[in-house]
Amino acid sequence: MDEKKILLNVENLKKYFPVRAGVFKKVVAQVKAVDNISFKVFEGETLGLVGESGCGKSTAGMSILRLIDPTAGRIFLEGNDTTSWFMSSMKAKKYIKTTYCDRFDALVAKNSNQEAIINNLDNPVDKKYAQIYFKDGYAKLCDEIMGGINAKRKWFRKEAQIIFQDPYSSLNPRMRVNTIVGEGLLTHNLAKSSEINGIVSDLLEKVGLSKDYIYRYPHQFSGGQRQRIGIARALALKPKLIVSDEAVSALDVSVRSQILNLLADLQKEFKLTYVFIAHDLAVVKHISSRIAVMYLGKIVELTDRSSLFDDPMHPYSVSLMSAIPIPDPQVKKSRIILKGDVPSPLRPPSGCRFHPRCPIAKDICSKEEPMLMEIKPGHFSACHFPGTFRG
Amino acid sequence: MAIENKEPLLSVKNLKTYFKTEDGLVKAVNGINFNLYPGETLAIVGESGSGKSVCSLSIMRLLDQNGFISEGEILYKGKDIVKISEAEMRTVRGKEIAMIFQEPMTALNPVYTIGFQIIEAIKLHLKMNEKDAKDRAVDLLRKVGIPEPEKRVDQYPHELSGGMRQRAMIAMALSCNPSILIADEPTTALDVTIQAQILELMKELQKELGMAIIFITHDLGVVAEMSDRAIVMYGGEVVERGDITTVFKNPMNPYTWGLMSSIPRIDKDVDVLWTIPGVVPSPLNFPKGCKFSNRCFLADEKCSKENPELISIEGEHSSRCWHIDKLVAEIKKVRAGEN
Repeated sequence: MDEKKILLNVENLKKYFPVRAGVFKKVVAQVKAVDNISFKVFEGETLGLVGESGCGKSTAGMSILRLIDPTAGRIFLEGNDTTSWFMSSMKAKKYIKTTYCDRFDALVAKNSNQEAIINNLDNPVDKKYAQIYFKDGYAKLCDEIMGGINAKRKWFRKEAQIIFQDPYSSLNPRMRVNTIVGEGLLTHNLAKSSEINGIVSDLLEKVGLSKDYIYRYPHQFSGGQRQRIGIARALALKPKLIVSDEAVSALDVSVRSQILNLLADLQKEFKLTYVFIAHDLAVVKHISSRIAVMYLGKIVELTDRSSLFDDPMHPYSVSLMSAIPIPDPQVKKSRIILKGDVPSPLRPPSGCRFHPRCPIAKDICSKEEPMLMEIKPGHFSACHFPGTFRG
Repeated sequence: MAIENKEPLLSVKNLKTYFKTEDGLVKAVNGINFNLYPGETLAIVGESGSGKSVCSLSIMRLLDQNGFISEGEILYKGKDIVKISEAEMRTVRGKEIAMIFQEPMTALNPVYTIGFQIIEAIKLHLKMNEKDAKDRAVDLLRKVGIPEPEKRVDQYPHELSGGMRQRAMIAMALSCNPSILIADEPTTALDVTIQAQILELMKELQKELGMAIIFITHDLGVVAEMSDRAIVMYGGEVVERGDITTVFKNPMNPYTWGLMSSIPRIDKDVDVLWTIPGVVPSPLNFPKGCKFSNRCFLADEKCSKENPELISIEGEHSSRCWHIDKLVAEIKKVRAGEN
């Protein structure tokens, strides 16, 4: 896998939502929607993020795109640390200080050889920033990271796009299709306004709509057609990464298969990389090359599609697969019925978060939290007893 | 199941339900026929706009103001419930025929406790006093698998999770031992692990209480799991009907076949999904002739002129299509390619 280029690298991402109460709006608790997840997405692949409601899959997607600010963690796009790009300058400076300067200083305190420290760092970004920091100090590093911030932000917004779940509320009802799809092109100076209609017509044909529709309003389309417009809008800037947040969940069965095929075709044509967020494991299996299963803010299993389905390591993945009804009355399978509901992320269970519902939970599970470990090459699972439960 | 010699519990005959709208008369359900036998589960399958929900609302007589049953009979134990008075209907609704809905949050009243809402029906239909009714409500909640039912009975809907709300709704529907339970997409809003719990619960309760279930859904997986027989609806008409194994094994209608092939499955791998082109048209704009003709891969001139009848293929199994033989050949070809 090493020769593949990493497009998106998410490192220890956390997103906590504070719960405030009382007269002074004191923070009384944190909802740990996403709690320390890390994954890489390779260029040209589709990573499926799957889980039940409340597992943090959408929050993860929103944080990657910086539609909400992550609480902690780093997000790299094409080898650039983009985390601080959307922070206010105060916060960004604090971020640079804690993530880079303090860490480098601590390393220096242990081992004064700066050369060796730089060589020991794994991440090329860390190496580069360490070099700058040791040579020119903190101010220069801030310049390096925060300089030309507007261009950097624009670059990020062009390269990373999103397709939303609800095609009804994600299109502005007062804009015509050519404005909806072409707006980004103008903002990024990728086209003159006289060229917009032509480009939009081409895009509409690419997503399977007639080019005569460019002057229509969203309400004149059906749900499936609107989702196509949403896809055309995401494609317009020729992005590298598209995050699709439950893009087919609101659609009827027959329309859903059309959109899934369209997404697959576009991926081939434009060499797109998808992060495909969905709750439907069958859909995720169909479209993804690798799949991350999430439960209550954590990734519990991460592997490629075939090993997840042939050789699942985590009891939650096994139960999730078993819960899906198969559309064939002759397939009679014994079903694993999980007890209870998904606990509230406000008060997650101690130890392994899945242990109150887990069919094979032992004492250790309620005490120690299992880390996401590589069980087999490329197959990660966070369980104390990986692979022992098969239903 | 030898259903031929049983007496149907519910018999829907040539039911037509129309809606008056500003744009014209919407024929949401246009002449459907089916029987429901005691103790069985009948699935009504279709996409949005196929008329499956309107069909169930017609049986419950819960249509919106602008909707009306223009023709047809709904015979429940031999009595036509289309013709009976609203007062008489009230003794049937909830007692004989009960219903559960997709969204338990909107179907439950947020300002009353769960217990109050269950007790209300018990007092009305079973003429019990307050205390007995409350005991029964607690029993019911226990039966549907709600932990600490004595406490839950005094809680409000917002204090329960989605799965628990759906369980409470099932308890309410079963409070008067109905002989028919209509379930309109009861698990669509739930997570898969919770869905598995609810489906299991419904199966157990059916075994125990022996009610017949009409299961309305768009999810073919759930249909295969739950039902004995299925009817597939498109454009307000039944396009295929039969027992569940036959319909899945030998679909005889291009719409059923298309629907079954266009869903991604976890037990199979396909590179490209089958698609049904286009979308379900607005109910005012269905094509002449066969309603599916504008999206069907077998359609020819005949299909766009004349609507085929629902004809029997073998016993109960019937389909509405001019080109059944062509479809069978096509399916054979596709399946030969798979193996």
